[in-house]
Amino acid sequence: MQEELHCKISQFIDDDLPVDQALILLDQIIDNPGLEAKLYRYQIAREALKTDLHSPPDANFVKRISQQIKQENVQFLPHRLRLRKNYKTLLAVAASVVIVAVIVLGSLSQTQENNIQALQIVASDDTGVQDQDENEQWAAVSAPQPPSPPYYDYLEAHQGVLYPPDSVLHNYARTASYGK
Amino acid sequence: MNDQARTSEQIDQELVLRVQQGDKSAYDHLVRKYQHKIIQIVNRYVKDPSEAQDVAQESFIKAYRALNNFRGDSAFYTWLYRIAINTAKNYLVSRARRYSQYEVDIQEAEQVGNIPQLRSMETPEQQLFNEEIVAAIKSAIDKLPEEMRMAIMLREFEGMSYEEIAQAMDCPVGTVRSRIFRAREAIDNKLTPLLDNR
Repeated sequence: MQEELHCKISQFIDDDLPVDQALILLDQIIDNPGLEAKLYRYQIAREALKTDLHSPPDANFVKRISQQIKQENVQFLPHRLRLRKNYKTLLAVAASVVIVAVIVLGSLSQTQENNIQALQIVASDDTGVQDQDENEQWAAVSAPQPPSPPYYDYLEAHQGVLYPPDSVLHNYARTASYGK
Repeated sequence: MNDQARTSEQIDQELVLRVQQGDKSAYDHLVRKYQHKIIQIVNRYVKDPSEAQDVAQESFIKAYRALNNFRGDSAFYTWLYRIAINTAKNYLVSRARRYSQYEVDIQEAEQVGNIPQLRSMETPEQQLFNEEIVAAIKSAIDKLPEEMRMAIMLREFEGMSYEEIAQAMDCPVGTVRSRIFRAREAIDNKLTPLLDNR
């Protein structure tokens, strides 16, 4: 058991221990001075191997800071850490959302079209003869009506144009527009 | 960023979050994790080891007070590292003001820190003690079986991950993990009596 914990400490200083296990190990260290001493010595060995200049912290370094912090009256405002963004993941998620939205919208409009077509088919089946009469009436209403006789004469005299091409009204309208 | 760095950052983020939620003991974990590195950094500027420890301690306290402003945009260690360097520089400047006869060149301090002969502030006892530690560790490594020695050296000197070591040594990652642990235990057996007699 103890050896297993020591092995985990070795993994921990190499950042090889999974996060959840590392946090459990750190909590175990609080209650076990032997484990803390082991971590301390492993770290000394590591730093001494990296440089001959290492002067290790004294064994009470953590305790001294801990005591000083206990006396500190620092209030932390509640907030969450902003996690460093993994842009590739965000991009992939955004692309997936767009694709899903396009597919959903496409299928929705397809369904609507199908519904409209179905309604039209049903409607045309039900009112075949009646529609024919209505269509004739609609054609009669919407057909262009012949202009009234005075306008008809005027349009005929001016080749179907309401105002003659050289009308002063054109210039006047432009002048008014510039003034405006 | 490799998997190991990511794991380390995730642990730090979780601990910082706990501290921000009022769990002061979580900050002890952060101190425990980074005390050696921070003292090492400060030691480059402040030559006296006991002063370096005080400056490192001040750095950790400053970081704690400023932790509410830490949003996780950079890694916690990077943020702490900057605080430590600034604290060390400020310490040198204030010391220079107090003892104006000493000229302090911060840029120079950054460079001379890597030259052992210039670490004159260490007492002979401290120097001897540190040399004994290094000698004990090196002797322990020399006596390790070849596979263990290679595994620990690839890890500590080359900074390779367990996966990379497994590839280099053509063995499973679990075997690498075990070899490195055994090597550390062998070194620790040499180191413990030295530290106990300190």
